[in-house]
Amino acid sequence: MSFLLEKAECNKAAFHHLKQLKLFAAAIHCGYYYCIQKIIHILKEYYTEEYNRGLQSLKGGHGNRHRFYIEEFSSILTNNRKEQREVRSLLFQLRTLRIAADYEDSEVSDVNIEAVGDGINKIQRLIRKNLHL
Amino acid sequence: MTIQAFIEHSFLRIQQVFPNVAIAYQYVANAETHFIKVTPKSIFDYEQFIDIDFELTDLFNQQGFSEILCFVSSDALVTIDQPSKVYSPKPNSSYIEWFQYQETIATTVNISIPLAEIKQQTPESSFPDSFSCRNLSLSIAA
Repeated sequence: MSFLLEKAECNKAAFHHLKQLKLFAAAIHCGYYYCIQKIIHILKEYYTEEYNRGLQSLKGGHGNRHRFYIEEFSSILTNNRKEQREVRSLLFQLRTLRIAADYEDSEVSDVNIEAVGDGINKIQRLIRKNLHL
Repeated sequence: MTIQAFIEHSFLRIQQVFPNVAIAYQYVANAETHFIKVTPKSIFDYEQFIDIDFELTDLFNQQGFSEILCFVSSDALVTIDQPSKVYSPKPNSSYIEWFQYQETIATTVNISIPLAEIKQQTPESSFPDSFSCRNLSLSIAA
């Protein structure tokens, strides 16, 4: 197993553990990074050329990298446009929640955390269905 | 094209094909993301709406905006609670006619069930305060 995938799995375990401890903001952080690390691993491992080419053409800061990972990944995941759109939207929403959880002076409720868990599960299901990973 | 012009164009494009959907727009500055929420979900999942979603996303990317565009519906993880632009559809004529018809039925058909007509029989149960449905006989006035 690659170190990146191992770290992704740690973040997934941390998400569930932190959720149980009701440490919701930290759980959202780990849930988002689980998804991002998993998709970077998939892009690097199975779509190396597209990944390298895309990274070279990138301008701007770190935020642009996440946008690239999400857009590139949703387009290669499946030819089904409804699923492409679903993954893209879910990942961008998770990114927004992660930024709010990390930096904003606002509470994260248990309602949010359940929705985040469902979103992560949906992404996992689509990866398993389309890439068998 | 400015981002405001793009959002305006997106609203018009969606309304043009789906005049009965509700649309809300909110920019989340921290995440540099423009959210467009379209409800109901059933329309959001239409093939024709997916075409518009891809068309607008392509146009957004062609403009070279540095932010992110994200379409969501009623099942969104994020909360669109402070939209800066909203479109709410007016009920179309067939809806209005349907509601008027329902009102007419409600005012002209008066079904009354006089309580005095409900007879209570002695319950067979050993618990006198409770009785089963079979022990109640109802006679409804015509």
